[in-house]
Amino acid sequence: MKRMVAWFCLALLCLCLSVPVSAQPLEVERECSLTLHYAKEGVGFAGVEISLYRVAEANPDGTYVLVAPFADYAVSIHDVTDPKGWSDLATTLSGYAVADSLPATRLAHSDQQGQVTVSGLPTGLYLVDGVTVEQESGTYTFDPFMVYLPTQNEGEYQYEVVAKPKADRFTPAPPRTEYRVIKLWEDVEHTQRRPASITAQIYKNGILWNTVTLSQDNNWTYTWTDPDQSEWSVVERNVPEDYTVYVDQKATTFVVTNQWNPDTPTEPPADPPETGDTAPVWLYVLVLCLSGSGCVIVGLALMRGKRYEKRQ
Amino acid sequence: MRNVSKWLVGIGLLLMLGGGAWWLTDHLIAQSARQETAQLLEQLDTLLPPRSEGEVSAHRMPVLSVEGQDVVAVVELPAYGVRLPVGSTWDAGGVTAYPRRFSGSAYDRTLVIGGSDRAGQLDCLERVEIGDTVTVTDMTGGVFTYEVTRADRFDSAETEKLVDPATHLTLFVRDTYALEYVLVRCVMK
Repeated sequence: MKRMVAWFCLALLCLCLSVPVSAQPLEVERECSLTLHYAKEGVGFAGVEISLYRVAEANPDGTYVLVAPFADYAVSIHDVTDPKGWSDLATTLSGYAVADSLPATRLAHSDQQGQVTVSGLPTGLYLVDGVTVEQESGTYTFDPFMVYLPTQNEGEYQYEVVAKPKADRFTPAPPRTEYRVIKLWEDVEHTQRRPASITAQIYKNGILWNTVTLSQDNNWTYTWTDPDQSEWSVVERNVPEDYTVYVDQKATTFVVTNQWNPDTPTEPPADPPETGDTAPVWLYVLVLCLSGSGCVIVGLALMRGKRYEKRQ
Repeated sequence: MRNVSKWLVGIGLLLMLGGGAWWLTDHLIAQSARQETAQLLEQLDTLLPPRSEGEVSAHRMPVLSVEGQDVVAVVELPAYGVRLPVGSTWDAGGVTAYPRRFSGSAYDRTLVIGGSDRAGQLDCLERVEIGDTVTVTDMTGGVFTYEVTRADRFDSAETEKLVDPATHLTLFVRDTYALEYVLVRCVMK
């Protein structure tokens, strides 16, 4: 008998130790808040849309029960004990939410710092749906996750919960190839016949993509980027009178050249090529300085001579 | 007599001042020209197609109009750290800023380029050596590489002296100190 009592007490003790006992009971009716922070390397992601789904309601004893519509799904929230289990549960519930177009309990958007606080939430187990954030460098993916409201920390319930989800995946942006069309002229001695601008058409995969005007204002060039590795071609429309056109593609640069009357040869200048330095500046400066110095010296010498005569 | 001496001193000072002002103006013009050239080169570097080996062609050398200035090539003398745009047409006054094409084309090996012997321009022509490399890049990115074979000096530079059928590229400047023309002859490598 004594042994039985001893065993019973030991079992009871074990049971008591295995069951977490809160210092305070869960206040089921108390409202909670959830603050989420979406960022990477200190840079917040602004404008991220967050969807919250209340999956289960809390009981005063700290247990949770699935609520509609999630109660209709064959999932269990009681057997989950490890991070992977929670991740799988979140992914499963997120899948149902999308498949059945379930309305979110709350929708919110992150601010410039990537932070969002949703207040006035009833206690329960929530699904925070996954988000994807597109940046110039690539796409960050945050998987869905589950969060208790309130959470427990060292036996205390915390009704204002803060979570900082980490990006689970990053997909780099595909390389963006830069293309350029550049206009050249073969019209020496006929430059006065050049038009003020020309029109070029850019075709992407055989379909007209853009019509651009090349002129002095843009140094006769136009640049664009291609993230899709498409096939590009360029033609010039309304080629100026007395010009012919040919197009050459060098890697990602389309060189569109207008040629003036290619049958007429160009003769070199007939006159001797006097360069701008026919006036040797150094020589003139030297002459000026020397003659100026000479005048000053002679003038001063005359002044000294006059003063000497006066003293005499 | 006293007045004469004062006049002499005054005139002398004015002459010296004039000489100084002339030198300063010339210096500022040269500085402005260097800045203009550097900006032009910077623009060209962003606009020109990728470099490739230059090809002989029946076409004339095409011109790219940048900030209203027609550029036909970029000439480089790597041994002297010289890299300059080349204006499309000859302009005796215009060579103050950067060299100009006097005649010919790299495509048919008759190119003649003239410049100024100001510091930072083609002043290096006065000290080039046989075997030095010169490159000319056209506006399609085609690069033509030459080797210096000869340097001549003449009191004058008529077209007949500049255009030499035996050479593929001629660069010339007027040596303002020696008051003669320096003609550097190059053949394609």
